[in-house]
Amino acid sequence: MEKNQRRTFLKYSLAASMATLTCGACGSGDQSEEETVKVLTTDGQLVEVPKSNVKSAPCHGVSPSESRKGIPGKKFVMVVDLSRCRNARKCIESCEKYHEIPPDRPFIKVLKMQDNNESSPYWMPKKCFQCDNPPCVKVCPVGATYKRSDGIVLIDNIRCIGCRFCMSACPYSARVFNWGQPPEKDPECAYSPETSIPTKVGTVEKCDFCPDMLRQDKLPHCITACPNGAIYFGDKVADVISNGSEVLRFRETLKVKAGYRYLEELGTEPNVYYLPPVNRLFPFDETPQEGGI
Amino acid sequence: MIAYFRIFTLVIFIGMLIPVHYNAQDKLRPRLSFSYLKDGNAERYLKVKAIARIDRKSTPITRVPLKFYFIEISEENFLGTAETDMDGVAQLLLPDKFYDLSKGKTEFKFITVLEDQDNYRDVDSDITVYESALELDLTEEDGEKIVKARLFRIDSSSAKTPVEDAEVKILVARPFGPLPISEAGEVTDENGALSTVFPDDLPGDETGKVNIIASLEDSDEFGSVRTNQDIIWGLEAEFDDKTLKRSLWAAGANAPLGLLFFVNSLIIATWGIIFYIIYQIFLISKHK
Amino acid sequence: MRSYQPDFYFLSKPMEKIESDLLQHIPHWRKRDKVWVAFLTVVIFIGIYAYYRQLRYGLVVTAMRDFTSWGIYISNFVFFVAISLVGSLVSSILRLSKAKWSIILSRISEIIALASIICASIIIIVDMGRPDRFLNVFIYGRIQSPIIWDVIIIATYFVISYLLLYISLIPDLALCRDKLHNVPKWQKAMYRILAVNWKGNAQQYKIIHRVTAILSLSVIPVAFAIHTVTSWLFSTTWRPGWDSTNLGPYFVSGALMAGAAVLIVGMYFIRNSLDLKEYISEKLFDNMGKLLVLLSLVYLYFNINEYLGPSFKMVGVEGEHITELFYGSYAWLYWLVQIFGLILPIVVLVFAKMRKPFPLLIVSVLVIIGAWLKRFLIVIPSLQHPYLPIQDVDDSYRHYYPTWEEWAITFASFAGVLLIITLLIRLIPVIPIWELKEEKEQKNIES
Repeated sequence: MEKNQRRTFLKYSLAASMATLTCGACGSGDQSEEETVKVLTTDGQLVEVPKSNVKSAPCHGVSPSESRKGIPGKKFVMVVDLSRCRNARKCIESCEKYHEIPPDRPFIKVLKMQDNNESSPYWMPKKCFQCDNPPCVKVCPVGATYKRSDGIVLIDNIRCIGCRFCMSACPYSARVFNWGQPPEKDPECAYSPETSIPTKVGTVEKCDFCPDMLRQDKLPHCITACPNGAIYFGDKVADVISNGSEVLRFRETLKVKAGYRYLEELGTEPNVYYLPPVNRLFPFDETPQEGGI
Repeated sequence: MIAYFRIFTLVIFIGMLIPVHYNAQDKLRPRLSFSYLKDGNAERYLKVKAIARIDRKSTPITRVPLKFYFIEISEENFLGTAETDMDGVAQLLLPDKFYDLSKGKTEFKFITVLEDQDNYRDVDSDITVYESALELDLTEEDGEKIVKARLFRIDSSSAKTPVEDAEVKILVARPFGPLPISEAGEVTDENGALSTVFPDDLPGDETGKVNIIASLEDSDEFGSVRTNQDIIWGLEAEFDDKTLKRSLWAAGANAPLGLLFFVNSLIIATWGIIFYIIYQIFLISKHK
Repeated sequence: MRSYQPDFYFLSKPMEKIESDLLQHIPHWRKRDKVWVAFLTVVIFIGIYAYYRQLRYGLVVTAMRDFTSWGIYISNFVFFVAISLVGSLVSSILRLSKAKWSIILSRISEIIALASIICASIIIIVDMGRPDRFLNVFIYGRIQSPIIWDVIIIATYFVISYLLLYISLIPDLALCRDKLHNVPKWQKAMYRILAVNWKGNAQQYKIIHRVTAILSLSVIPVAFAIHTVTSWLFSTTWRPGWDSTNLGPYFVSGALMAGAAVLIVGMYFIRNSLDLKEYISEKLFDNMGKLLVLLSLVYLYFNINEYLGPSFKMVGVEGEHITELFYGSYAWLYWLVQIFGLILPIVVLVFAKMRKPFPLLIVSVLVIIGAWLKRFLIVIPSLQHPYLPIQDVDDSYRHYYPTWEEWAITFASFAGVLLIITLLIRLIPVIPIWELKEEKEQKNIES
């Protein structure tokens, strides 16, 4: 009876995120026949269980055909406050974790930028700009990458033929390619272009604005991961952006802080805006900085 | 309303760190942060976030049942059980039983218990809050849209006493969290009131409807108290679905007409010639 | 008899002799032919093994990475598309400009064109990350994408190239059917089927003349389109070095020049190995040499156009790209290509002595190598100068040195072109005999 009950608990509690977190601590000594994972139980023990026992986390990404439609009535925008970024790289880490991407091809980069020799360098977090005149979507021969009504550009890696024309076309180098075979794992959820999981060899990937989170009215992972609240995300239709703690009006913020879009002259009409790196919270420092304010 | 609750991520953090005895096998110390939330228009909730520290990282304890009691831990004061979700948050909508138990009372003590699980001793946490009323008045004066919020304490005789110096906020519901429209740090006056002007350029839904919220957060006395009201004060939302138009980046079916015409006429012309030539080859073969 | 031009002296021979000269190689596989085919087959199999590795492990076996996302597969593709233009150059442009000597070269150039367009199509599939989804191009094709335009135009050009070769081959296939008796059965059957009941009557000749005229007219726009569309694969993207309105004519002129050089090399080896010194005369080499100078001058003109503007303005990343080519890590390659592949042919081939077969062969080989490397220089350095700086990446992402798999596949594609050419010239007369016959008859009437 006791044992039985515990089993039920296990089934419930062995959630995906937990498994990865705890497994980071457990080392890799065991090589049993069946693949196992270490998980945290309800009674606080680290136990090792067959992978087949692990119940999956709820899936929010929708099917490839459904993912072409977009979330109705929304137009998503991102605003990056360059005065707040100190290259803490938490956005990159959280993105890697939730999209299960290896560190060698991140969706987000924090670039060291210097406009000219006299001006001070600054850090510029860069994701996909989800352009309204998207070069990548224009050139795709098979419609594997597409623009949705909510402004998000996604990739269907079941349709992608791996021609990499979109990578050549993108002036922001936002796209990465699965050059090799991704590590094999049993996917928790069915493939959805909204999560970009699981990855497939020979296809293109990029930052997707986490539509699976947006469907739950939650912010993308990189936004909430930033210790300095440097990245705001929101809905242009509702004229609002949030960095997880602070909620601002989108247009007013751009107006007051002289927001701009990177390489406006290319005519790609990005949906990612930048606030100039003035009155910075931190002095520029080359070494990666832990933590926030 | 529960969906609405999720939008509202502001949680009172009056959690207590419960010292737990643990033996050598115990590696985790659960921590419960307990909060009370009253939604003036609807219901009351109890919310607990359960976390443990693993490798110096706060890790949510997922899928554990938490029990909730009113005043004291006993069978007759048991309010219900809620399980923590993926973020370690358990939420209990206070049942009718609470309203029966609290009849005539304006001071509420709640207790939550994470029950013995082999290696934990009981972990519990409690909070005490007072009954309150938060009222929202929406009026238009001289073309200005005024939002007024008033906070009262309710005593056992149901009398309302205005609460002064409370940090009540006025917000408008938005995706990813409500947008404050009152000044930050503003407090209620001697009438328990606080007011602000609704901005005339804020979009609502397609009809211009907005949801205005008054909220008291993180209050020792009352917990979180909130009320909200819909009104057609916003601009009509403008949504332009460009994906339906013909463009170079649209789906293949929405290709620009000029391009379709150009490419197809070239294809027809060229392949017309090709098929003509193939037909001529056929004619050659038919000659005797 | 004296009325024959220097390039047509051989027409003074009796027609039977001409026929036997031009058919004599077909039934006889010499040892060196077999060794050559075996060598090409081995090279192709090494390439197939490399491709097997690529299929198994993914494109990670190549040196391409996220910034240099296109490599020598693409530059090689552009090269093959370029040399496929030679078919239209000779069979159409020269024919329409009434250069009679082009009759002698038309079939060789058509064979080269067909072989290279086939290998261009194969190499573009090799470049795909998911060749298993090739059919998606037809199922989900978006007409807005320049790749789809390229697929359409390559398919069209392939068919036209094939027809161009085949139509003018029908009377010669009939000749093979009637004259060649000591060939294997399947070969006889092939001649019989492909000769589509050719009797050589007036009506049939009438059809073939009409069809050839239509084809040689319609192949010009298609040939220009195929390489212009290929240039649009680059100029429709937001990349320095590709963002040019000049790219179409620049590609087409470079293609015609490279194609002419390939034809010269083909002429040289076919002439020697098939013992056709009288037919492919020194006069033809002289003509081709002059043509190569002309085409090089045109290409030089578009080269200057392509680089002057950007190098004068030196705008942002465009300027970085130009600096990289002119003075940076690609400078040695860039100047080598421009000097040996473009300036040298112009200077050297002005002299009649250098238009003799052997010196012309050497210059043409230089032009071909230059043309191949030029396409490398068009594709790769542009990708390495994106608008945003390349940071936080493994060192392998910053440069591009093709791996052995890429070289093996590239060499296999060359071997493929050579194999197709070899097999075709082993099966068919390399000079259109019926056209020589017509030419001879016309001369007889005139005299």
